[in-house]
Amino acid sequence: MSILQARELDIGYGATRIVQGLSFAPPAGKVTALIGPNGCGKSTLLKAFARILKPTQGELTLDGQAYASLSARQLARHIAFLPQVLPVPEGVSVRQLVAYGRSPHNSLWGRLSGSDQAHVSQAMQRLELDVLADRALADLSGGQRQRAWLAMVLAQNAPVVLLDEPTTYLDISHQVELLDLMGELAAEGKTVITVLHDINQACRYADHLAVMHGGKLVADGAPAEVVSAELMRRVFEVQVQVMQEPVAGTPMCLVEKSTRAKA
Amino acid sequence: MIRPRLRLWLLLGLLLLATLVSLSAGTLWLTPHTVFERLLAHDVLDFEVWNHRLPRSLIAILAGAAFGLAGAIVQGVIRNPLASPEILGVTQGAGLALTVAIISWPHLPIAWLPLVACLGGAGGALLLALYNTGVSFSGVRFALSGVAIAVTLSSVTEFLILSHPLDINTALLALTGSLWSRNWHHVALVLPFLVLIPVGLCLAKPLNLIALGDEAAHSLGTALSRTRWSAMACAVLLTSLGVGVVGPIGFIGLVAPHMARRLVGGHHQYLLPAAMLIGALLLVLADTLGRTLIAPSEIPAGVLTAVIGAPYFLWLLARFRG
Amino acid sequence: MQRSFAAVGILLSGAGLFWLSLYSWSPFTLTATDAWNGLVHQGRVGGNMAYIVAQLRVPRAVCAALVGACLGLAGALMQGITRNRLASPSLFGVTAGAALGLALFSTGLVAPPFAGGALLMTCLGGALAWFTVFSLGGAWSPTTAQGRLVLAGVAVAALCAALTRLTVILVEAQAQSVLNWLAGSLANVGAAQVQLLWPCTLIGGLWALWCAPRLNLINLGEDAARSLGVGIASLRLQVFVASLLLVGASVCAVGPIGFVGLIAPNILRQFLGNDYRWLIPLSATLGAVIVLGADLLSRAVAFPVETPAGVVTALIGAPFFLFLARRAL
Repeated sequence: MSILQARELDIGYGATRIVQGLSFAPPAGKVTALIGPNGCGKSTLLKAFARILKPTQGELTLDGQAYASLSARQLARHIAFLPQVLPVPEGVSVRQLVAYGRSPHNSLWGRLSGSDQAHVSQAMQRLELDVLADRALADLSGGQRQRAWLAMVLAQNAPVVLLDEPTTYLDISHQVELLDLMGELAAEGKTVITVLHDINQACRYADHLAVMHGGKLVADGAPAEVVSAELMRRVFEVQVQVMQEPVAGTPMCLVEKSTRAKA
Repeated sequence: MIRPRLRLWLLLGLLLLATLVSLSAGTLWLTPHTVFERLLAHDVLDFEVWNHRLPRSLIAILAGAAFGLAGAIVQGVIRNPLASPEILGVTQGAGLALTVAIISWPHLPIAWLPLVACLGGAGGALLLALYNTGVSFSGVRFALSGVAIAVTLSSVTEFLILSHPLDINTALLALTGSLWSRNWHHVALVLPFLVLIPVGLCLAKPLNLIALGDEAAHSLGTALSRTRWSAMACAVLLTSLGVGVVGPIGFIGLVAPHMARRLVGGHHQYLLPAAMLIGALLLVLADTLGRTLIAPSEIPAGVLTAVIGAPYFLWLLARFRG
Repeated sequence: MQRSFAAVGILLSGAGLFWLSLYSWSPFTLTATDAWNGLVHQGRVGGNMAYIVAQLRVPRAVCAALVGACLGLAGALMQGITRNRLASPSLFGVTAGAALGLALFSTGLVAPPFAGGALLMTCLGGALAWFTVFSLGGAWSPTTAQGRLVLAGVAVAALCAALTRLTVILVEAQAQSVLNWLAGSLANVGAAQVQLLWPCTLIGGLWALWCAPRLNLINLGEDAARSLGVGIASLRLQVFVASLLLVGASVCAVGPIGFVGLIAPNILRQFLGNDYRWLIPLSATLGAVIVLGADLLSRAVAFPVETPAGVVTALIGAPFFLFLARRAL
């Protein structure tokens, strides 16, 4: 059962098409990782799901309703998006940022109701931000700032959470915490879709892999089913040995060499 | 972030104090006690307080607040701290329209002037929008093109003024902006601003979200394009209204939002009111100084706002390095 | 080949405009013969009209050409040293700073009593403005966005303009002059201005020409230039002094005229590329053409009332700047 569904999507601008004829239905209540080489269209697809980019052809539906029929607010109550680059607005505290996550739910002036406050406190507690609550965003470290943004996304309380390359700028301990959090969210019933660079991380932490290449979806399924030496050579142009990872039992790729044809 | 609400109240108190000083100061200095007496007495023949200083101070407060609010909105939408309505050609467009009106129809009733100014300001903003369509949005190019449009429009204004001999104070008003001879008739002209305040303040929540970046704002449910248009329209109206009454006074829309941000932070529910209060404070201050420094002659308020505002802007620029 | 054509073309139009401005659009009726007599025989032959040409028109045309040359040179120098196509004396507030210096001198507030005091004040004013804009705008940092310097320049220009107005109001309390002060006009120039201008133009021009090859190298980036043996700090200082002299002289003579330093080098770049050995001398010539043309227009536009030439250059220059800004960024 899927909440989100994409059918025959074409996304691009002008004469360039980045995504072509793509159909995809991410499984609900699971962590799906979108992976693929640079320029394959994974971020583009994610942004289309967030309605940041509009497809030139094809259809996107949420619970059977077409995207086009939903207002910005309605969509925002169902889908939350964490951008790759997190701007640092001046003079905004952590608490204020997390509170902005309630915007799709609260009034015109932005007043927080009791339930809004509850969501905000819960999100901050979960991400251990209580100590930093009144600090300005600009004064925090990169990892702390991302936690604040994550808390905002959590406070939004949307059943679908999209994350655009969230691990890129983090050091390893923060990466692991983030990936664990994604698993927890999925366990609570949320649909989590994230773009990841690291194949092994994707295999270890995601329930479902969607592999993209040249704007098309080339493989779609559980990591154990999808990952093979042949796939890695075809899509990522590397020669690997696939083994079973000793801690979690998921597939792991050991790189032998690059097979990219040199011009 | 220490108690922004408290700071807002402090700003209000400061503004009231400045107004009191403004009412007392001038060619003839009055004690605050006398000022209160005269305010309460409401003697129609009382020149100093009722007919001269009070309307002038009221106009300074309202116009200054309009400029401050417009500046905060513009900076919120464009997300560039160097942006402001005068840098976008709105002020100069309004000034040019006013000059054309004053020269072509010298007997135009003053009630028409704000309308003329709004048309001019909207024209300037439209030029800017047209210039920036079809290219990917860049904050610096936007500001620069605004500068170019502003310079063009103000050159035309200067040309018109220099080739049509006008009463010098009117000319100065049209070129620099001043509160000279603003009286109760002009106060009526600024009143529409009181309608625009709630509209502007409704922009607080979307502006908060826009500050988080386009993607996040969109994902949190902001209708981006519609919000930007209505915000810019509001800012243009506010600025043009102000210019329509006091001429092209600059730097308030640039400096007030920055000062406000340093005082109360970036949460627009506090930032917008603070920008209004600081804008009002700056203009009251500029006008009071202008009236008293070389009394009985006057320095136009626009000159003083530039003298106060430009160094502050330069200091900002220095801080904003990189 | 293209370069020679461009050079000859500019020189010819310059000569043509010079000739035209000697006798056209005058409240008196002047003819070409009067112009010839005035120019060649310095008014000793040909009667009163020729005398007028010699006393008023010739100095005015010469001034216009020299001022244009100064501003064109300064613009080319500034663009070379900052690698920013938008650099120019008026956009960077240097002209406004010089005007402030002149205002302080003329109103007696800060008036060094020796000869050349006026020139000194304009150069000082321009220097202060230059320092402020360049250091605050991050001129020397490689990561600065091109537009920042211009924004800083606009702010400094606005500040200097306001201070100039303030100065005049404080001292003269007669606001009419305030308006004319900032407009830049060739209406009342005579032999004195010519005598001020020609040495400055000559020195500045030669100096600029000497800097030209090194400016070509700076264009490759400062690290590359340094490794090719260019003394960057010394070059900056030389460009600074030369530009200040040029701008200071022109403001001292006719007041602030803007956009010439922006337009001339950028037009030339279309034809000549970025070779400063050609850009510098031709910017001087094209600058002269522009100001001569602006001066002619200033008399023609609202004849018989004269519009200040500075307003005319702004009216042409600002739209040009708009066009440039769209492409340059």
